Amino acid sequence: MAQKAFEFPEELYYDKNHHMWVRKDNSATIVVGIDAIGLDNLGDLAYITLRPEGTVVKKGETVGTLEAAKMTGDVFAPVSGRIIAVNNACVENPGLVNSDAYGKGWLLTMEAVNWEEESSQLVHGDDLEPWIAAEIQRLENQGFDA
Amino acid sequence: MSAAIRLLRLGTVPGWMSQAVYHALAETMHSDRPDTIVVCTPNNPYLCLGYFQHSGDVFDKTALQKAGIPVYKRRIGGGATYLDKDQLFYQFIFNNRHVPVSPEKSYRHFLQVPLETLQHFGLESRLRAVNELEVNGRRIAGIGGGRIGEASVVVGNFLFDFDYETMSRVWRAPCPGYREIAREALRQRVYTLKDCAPQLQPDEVEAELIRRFSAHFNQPVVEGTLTPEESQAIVRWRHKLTDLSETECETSIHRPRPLKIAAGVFVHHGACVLPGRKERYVSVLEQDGRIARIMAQDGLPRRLKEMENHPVPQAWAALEALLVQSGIQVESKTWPQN
Repeated sequence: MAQKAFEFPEELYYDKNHHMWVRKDNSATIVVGIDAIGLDNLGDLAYITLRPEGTVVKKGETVGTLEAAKMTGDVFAPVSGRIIAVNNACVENPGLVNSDAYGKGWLLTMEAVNWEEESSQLVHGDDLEPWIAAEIQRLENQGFDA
Repeated sequence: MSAAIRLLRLGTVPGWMSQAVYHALAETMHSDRPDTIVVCTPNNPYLCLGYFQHSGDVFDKTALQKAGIPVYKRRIGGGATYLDKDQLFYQFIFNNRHVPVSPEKSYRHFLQVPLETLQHFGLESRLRAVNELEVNGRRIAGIGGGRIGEASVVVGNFLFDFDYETMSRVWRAPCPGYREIAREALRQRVYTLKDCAPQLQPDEVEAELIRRFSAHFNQPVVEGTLTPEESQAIVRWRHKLTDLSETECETSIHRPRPLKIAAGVFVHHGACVLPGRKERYVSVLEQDGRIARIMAQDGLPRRLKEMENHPVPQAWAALEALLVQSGIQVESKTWPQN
């Protein structure tokens, strides 16, 4: 079966457990969204809710809930921190997440409180390519057509 | 993967428990717990909202009080459903690691069993639009799913009979004509085993369903019982299910949505403002990619009826254009933005 091509911008960090992406600039603020494989698995999003600004979460805790194909699932915090802003455009139109995952489809900005330590558990740089390949293989074994 | 799938044949249980059980099993799922299939029937009628639905948007509060039917809100997806003793439930609660990640594949993985059960009885059944079970082209089950903690859940039912009248009565009708259209569509598109195979008894359908589990999942299926921890969790979920408040995330946004009757069948409504600020409503049945029926209040253009049988999305644009040409403003609508 032909493999799908997934876009994974190199400058981003990826949560390998939950297929979330993280954009980090020089400040403590990070931007968070769902990566290409995560979205391919989910299909078209029908609903999304996100926890409000100011909510403090630990890495791996839920920051929202979504529904695709009448199936609900959680949105997970890729790192610990405080939610600074929620992308209400996506809450109002979840299709935006599918159509522009790394751009207008961002979900949250957060103030990361333990970036130095927790970012080492995210996939980035040279680790990216082998992780994507392994992930496609793993999901293929679960009935995933890549 | 664990050695055997646990089967819980609960028989007839209180309505709340028929929902609470799969939530509790999902919540208590961890790596040393077995994948579990629950088969049961509720002993009283109730209504059940999908996780993202709001009771006030979906149900008529007065009609609910009059009917005296409890409403529960589940933690998984799908739309509002009416459930009662004439339905046989199947509920799959499997560890996430044993289930395809994609909702589409997950549904296919589980729904193959009820599908083949229906086919075994000579019924022309198929899976349509990801997760809808049909017989003779009509919906014959309500399906929903979700991931709760470490578990993936898919639930569905066999409709032996269906109380169309009660379901139609409790829907919130945002405008005149809406309920009539919805009732008619429900009768046309939701099917029951009483209609297509009246000789079938719940016991034999349940036996056939269960007979197929082991071969389908390629694992032994062993009847088991609830653990004390699971039983306690079921009681906790009884209370959680009756909490109809918003989803726990405060950023959820209410917007008018169409009423889904079956795959490809939706009842829409539009609120229009006439010159002079008079409010008028139009109800529209969308069926299999076409506008099947329009009911418009007096004051709206009669020519709206000309849109019937026209394909969407073009018909939506034409409908709105006609309203605008008549000096009418569409204040809110459930059909998609053009």
